[in-house]
Amino acid sequence: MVYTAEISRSNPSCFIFLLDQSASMLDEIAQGEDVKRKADVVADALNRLLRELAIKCAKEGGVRDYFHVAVIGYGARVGSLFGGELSGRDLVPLSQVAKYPARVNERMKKVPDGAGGLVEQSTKFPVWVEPVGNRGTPMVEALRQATVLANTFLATNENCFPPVVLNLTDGQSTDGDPRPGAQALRELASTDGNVLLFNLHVSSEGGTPTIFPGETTPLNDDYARTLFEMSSPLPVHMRAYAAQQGIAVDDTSRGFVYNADMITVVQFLDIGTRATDLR
Amino acid sequence: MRAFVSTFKVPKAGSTAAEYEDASHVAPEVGNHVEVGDHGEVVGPQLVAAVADGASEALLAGHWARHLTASFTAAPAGQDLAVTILAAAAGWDEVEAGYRRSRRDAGEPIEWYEEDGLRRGAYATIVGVHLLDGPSDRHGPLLMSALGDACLFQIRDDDLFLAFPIDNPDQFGTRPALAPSRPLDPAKIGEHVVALETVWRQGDQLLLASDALAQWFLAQHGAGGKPWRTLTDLGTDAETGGFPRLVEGCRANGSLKNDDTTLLRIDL
Repeated sequence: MVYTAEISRSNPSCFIFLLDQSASMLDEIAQGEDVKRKADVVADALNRLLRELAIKCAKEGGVRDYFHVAVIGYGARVGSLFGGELSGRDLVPLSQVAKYPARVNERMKKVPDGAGGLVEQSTKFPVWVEPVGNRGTPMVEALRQATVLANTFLATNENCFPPVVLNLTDGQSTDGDPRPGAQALRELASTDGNVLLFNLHVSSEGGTPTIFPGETTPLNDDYARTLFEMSSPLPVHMRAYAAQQGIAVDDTSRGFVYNADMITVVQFLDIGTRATDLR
Repeated sequence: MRAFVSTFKVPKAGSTAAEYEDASHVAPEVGNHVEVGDHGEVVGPQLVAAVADGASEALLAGHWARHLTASFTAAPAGQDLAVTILAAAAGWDEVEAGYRRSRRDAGEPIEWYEEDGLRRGAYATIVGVHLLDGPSDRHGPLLMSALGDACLFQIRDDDLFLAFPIDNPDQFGTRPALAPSRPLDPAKIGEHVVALETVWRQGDQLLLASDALAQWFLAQHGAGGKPWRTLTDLGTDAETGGFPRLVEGCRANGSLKNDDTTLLRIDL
């Protein structure tokens, strides 16, 4: 069966994040009562995904290197967005990503109070990338760099759980049709299956927030349709996990999210027995 | 009763012995703190034993598993496992505080990625058993209880007499019910605890195992094998180091999941 390889320190996998930092990302979208720029939404989504990944892999001895992580921005330039101690580095072991965020903010977060309600608690939120919007959208070049990184990783980790590439974008590529590059990326494979390419589409066009649509789900516009076609079908285990979380999926569902949360992508990964409360 | 108790442990491949997150504990009688050790004979009116398996995604999972098994062997026979778990959970704040102190004293402050996990608490499965003397010393009451997928197998007359609480190798996964160290809803624990009262006889063998070995055992049995024979041969003078070799071989042939692997064997 595919997508069942053990994820461990001796058999790690990798995450490659592609972050659209073009000028169009400065346009605003409404999220409920809030109005935010698309750049804020994707930067926040990326920081949350990295935070979730680090916490998932944290044990008493530190964060375990179950994953290597790359964060590539594309806008005025295409390249690594890691700063500080990690400046200029491509694939970085997760323990170092966790150790060297650009900064750590304190935020209030709602947590269960043990009596069926929620209480606000001060929680630390690390930040690795800041919202940026500048110049065009060289998505083809970003996908090419992701392909190089994935290929490099696969060369020394041929039995890994396949690399996961997450593209966070408003979909308006300006350096060509991204579909061939996406296809080439998805054709790379480990012995456990093909590289997974998922797309988080943020749009100012409104429409219904959508998570993991299938072929018959109406999509808002051509950019959404293109990104949907570029996205990998959901692996079976991920479909099952999404269904357990109450997300409507079928066997044509792809790893595409429109104006919604993508945290499921990290949460579905199996690194051992999950720490879940009794239901 | 007279019982010979042996405990075998192998950490997950790729993890160190310090990272092992299963736990086991044996006591000759409630409140008796004489350590039986990994291999020892117990003679007396009672024997209590437990195996627990800390959840991989939880912080301090190994600490919680050890705390749980110690709480089980300190609890009276017949006490509802839910009550035992809640009593253990009541002591968890102190365990966590001790851990935070040790980190502070070592000059290693708690990092941002540990705070959420420490606040949530730890999780583990557990299976435990009390054996009591009956009217004769050749049989008596056997009380077992479990939460999750750690299992107990009772072997009698070279046959699998009882598999508890799981009897099907397809019922194991990455989301078993787990005993929480910070229960959000204490009433839920009782809904997931399974308990059974039966009888032990002289000549029986009881095997307590964490989930990877339990699943292997049931799969072997389902295929017509007698895996208890393999486990009986371990730990004798002729088979020193047999358990690690068995585990390594089964992991290599794919019949045993790579996970912390624990066996507590009671020969009556």
